[in-house]
Amino acid sequence: MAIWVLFHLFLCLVLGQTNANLEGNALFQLRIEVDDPENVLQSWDPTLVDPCTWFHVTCDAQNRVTRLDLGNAKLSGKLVPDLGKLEHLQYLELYMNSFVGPIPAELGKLKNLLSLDLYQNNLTGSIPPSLANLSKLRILRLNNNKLTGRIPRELSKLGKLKKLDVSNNDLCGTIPTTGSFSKFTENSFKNNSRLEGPELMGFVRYDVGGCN
Amino acid sequence: MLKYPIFTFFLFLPFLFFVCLKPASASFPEANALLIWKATFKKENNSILTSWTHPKASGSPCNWFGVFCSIDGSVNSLNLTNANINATFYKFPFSSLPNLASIDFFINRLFGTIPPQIGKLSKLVYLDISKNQLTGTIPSEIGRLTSLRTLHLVENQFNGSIPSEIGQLVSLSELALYSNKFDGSIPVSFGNLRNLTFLYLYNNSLSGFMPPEMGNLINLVEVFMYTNMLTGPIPPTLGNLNKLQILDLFENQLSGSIPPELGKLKSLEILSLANNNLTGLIPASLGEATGLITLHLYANNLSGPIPRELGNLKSLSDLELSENKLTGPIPASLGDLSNLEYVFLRQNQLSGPIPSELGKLKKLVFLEMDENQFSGHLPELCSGGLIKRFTLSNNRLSGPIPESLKTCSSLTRARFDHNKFSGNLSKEFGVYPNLTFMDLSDNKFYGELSDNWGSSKRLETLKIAKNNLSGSIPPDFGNLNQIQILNLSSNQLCGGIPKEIGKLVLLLKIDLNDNRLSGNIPHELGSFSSLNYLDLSRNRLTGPIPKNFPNSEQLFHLNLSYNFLSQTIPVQIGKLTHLAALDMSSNSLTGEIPYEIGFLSSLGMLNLSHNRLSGFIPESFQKLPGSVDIDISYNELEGHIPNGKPFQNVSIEKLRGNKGLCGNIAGLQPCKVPPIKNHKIGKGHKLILIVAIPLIGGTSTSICTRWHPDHVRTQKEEFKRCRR
Repeated sequence: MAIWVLFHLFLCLVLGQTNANLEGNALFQLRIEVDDPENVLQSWDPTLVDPCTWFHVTCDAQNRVTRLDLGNAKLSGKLVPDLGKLEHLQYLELYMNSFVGPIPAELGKLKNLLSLDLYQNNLTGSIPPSLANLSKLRILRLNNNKLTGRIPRELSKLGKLKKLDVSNNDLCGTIPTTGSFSKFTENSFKNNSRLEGPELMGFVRYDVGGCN
Repeated sequence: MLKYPIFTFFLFLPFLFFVCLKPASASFPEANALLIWKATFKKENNSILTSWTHPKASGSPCNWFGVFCSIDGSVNSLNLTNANINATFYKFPFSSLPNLASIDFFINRLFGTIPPQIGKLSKLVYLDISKNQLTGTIPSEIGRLTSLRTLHLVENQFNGSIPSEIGQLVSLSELALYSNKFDGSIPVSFGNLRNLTFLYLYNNSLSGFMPPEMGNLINLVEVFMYTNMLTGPIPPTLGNLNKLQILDLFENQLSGSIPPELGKLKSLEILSLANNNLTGLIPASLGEATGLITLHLYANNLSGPIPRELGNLKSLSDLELSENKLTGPIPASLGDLSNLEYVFLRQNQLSGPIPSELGKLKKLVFLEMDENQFSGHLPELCSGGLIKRFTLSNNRLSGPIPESLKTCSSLTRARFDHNKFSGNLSKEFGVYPNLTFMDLSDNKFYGELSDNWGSSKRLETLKIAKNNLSGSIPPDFGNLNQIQILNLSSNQLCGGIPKEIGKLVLLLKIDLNDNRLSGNIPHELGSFSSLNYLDLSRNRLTGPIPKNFPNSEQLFHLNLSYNFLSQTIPVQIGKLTHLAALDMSSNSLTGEIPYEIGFLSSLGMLNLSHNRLSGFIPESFQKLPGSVDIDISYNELEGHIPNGKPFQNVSIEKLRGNKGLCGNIAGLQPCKVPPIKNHKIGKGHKLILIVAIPLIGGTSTSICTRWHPDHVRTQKEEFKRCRR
């Protein structure tokens, strides 16, 4: 019993000037969660006043995180929902790692996001419809993962989406064809063996079934 | 006694009789009752409780694992710590264990609520059901446990208010409710718990005011109420708690001023009021709480000066006053606090010089005073040779770096940036074997970069931007094999970029812009495979952009503008799929724009203006993101503007000054002939171009000279001044 008291005492007091910075705390949750054999996150020190001097983190003039560049860093483990707290994030670059687990729906809160690159990982589960809230999103690359389920129709509302790649997954259902999706070619969707092709409006119902 | 053995025997006989017989009658119903509870346990892998069966002989549970009895054979204690029990309390024999004095079920998987029957355990002295999965509220019947001395309900999911009936537990000495979801106020009745010594309520959602009645709890030694939502003032009555050693109210919404009465707490060792909404002054009387070891008042709205009376806190080792609105100087008396190890005064409005008395502090490990208005010269500060973190950035400090900091080999992280420090850099700093982070940017250092820096082998970040450095970058920088961020921008560095920089494979960000660097870009710079950011702009670099350069797919920012680079743009640039900003403007680049640039799908800004690029704009530019900001003005480009989003809303400023661009853009001549699809010029148009070229060439040359006169004029001068 006394051990638990001492443990909490240590955390609160001995670390002294603990970082009250919300963005740093959110990023530190990622550091705790992942395996990092190359120690790319070694500079992520939560006792610093903000994460702006951490490597692979870029901040703006007001010390808010705008870029997270961790592509090709040999990281594995799950993506933490705390990433959704980085309200000023513009570029989330986590491509070419070994991340597992689902894409957290909380990423839909990143209202300033321009580029979301999660390609070439081992992500599972479905594409969260909440990504349709990323109204400034220009680039969405989720290709080469193990994503299942449907492509959320809501994503076609992303008016600024210029680059989409969900190829090389295990997606099913039909491909949205309205809104920004009207300009994407089959290259964005290839190698999803259960994708049924473009949705057919009118006589044929959208949901042919067989896809969860 | 021994004199009369037979007498003693007969005296004890009845006692033995009772001892032998009573267990059967007293503990049989108790054993039964416990077995009824055990029957409700979910099946788990706990061989621990296999002993809980009906013993054939006496029916006594006293030999069961975790069951302890008093001499009369009645169960008085249950200790089932970490026994993997997955059950509720609903069938627990509250009425059948009349002598039960101690329950310890710490770390199990008990769930459900605490039944009101708990009030029946009238002899209970010790109750610990911490680290389980219990929910619901504490029943008010708990107030009946008037013998209870220890109550631990820690780390469960209890919610609701703490019942005021807890105030009836007059024997209570230790109360731990931390890490639950309790809300509502702390009951006023707590003031009746005269024996309370340890009070742990932290990490809940408690709100409302702290009751002044807490000042009656004169036996309190430790109070942890951090991370709640308490509001209102800190009661001055807390000043009566003579035995109090720890008061931790960190991270609440307490308001008003710090009561001066807290100065009466002679036993107080740790005081944390950090991260609240406290206002007003730091009371001078805090200097009377001479037992203080740790004082945390940071992240409040405190104003006024740091009282010099704090210099009386001789045991103080950790002083943190950051993130307030404190004004005035650092009192010289702080130099008397010889035990100080951690001093955080950052982000206030403190002013004046840093007192030389601080140099007496031999045990200093962390000294962080950045973002204030300190002025004057630094005194000697690293006399104990132990300082690891030293942050003085964003002040108005001036003068040279004192000797003790030059030799302060314990430094791991140092920030002097954004001040007015001056002096010859090569003489101001030594070798720092443990230094990982150094920022000297935005000061008035002059002189050259010494070879010393290459010997601080653990350096990961080195920033000396915006100073008056001269001379060249030493090749010894190639020894900084841990370095990831290097920023030497906005100085007067000359000479070439040493090829040894190419050895620094961990580099993420290189910023050498706004210097007088000359010579070619070494092709060794192409070897960086992790580089994110490269800025060599505003120098005097000549020669070609190396073919393999840069080689990092993670590169998102490349700026080579305002140099004298010549020859063509390497086609490898098309591999930089994450490039967001590409600026090669104001150089002497020739040849055609590689069509590979059209594949840069992340591009947000492309500036190739003020070069000598010729030929057509590649059709592949149609594929660029629609929002990309393109500037290709002042080149020798011709042909039609490609269709597509990138050029839909482009203004004429970004296209003018070329050879013969045409298209449907305001200010641009419309294409008279069908767009030419290949790169060859048709015969019929050669005549027009022969006439047009000298005209346009003459115009663009004159415009070019007006745009970068400095480059042409001063380039020759600098080769003379750079000695190395």
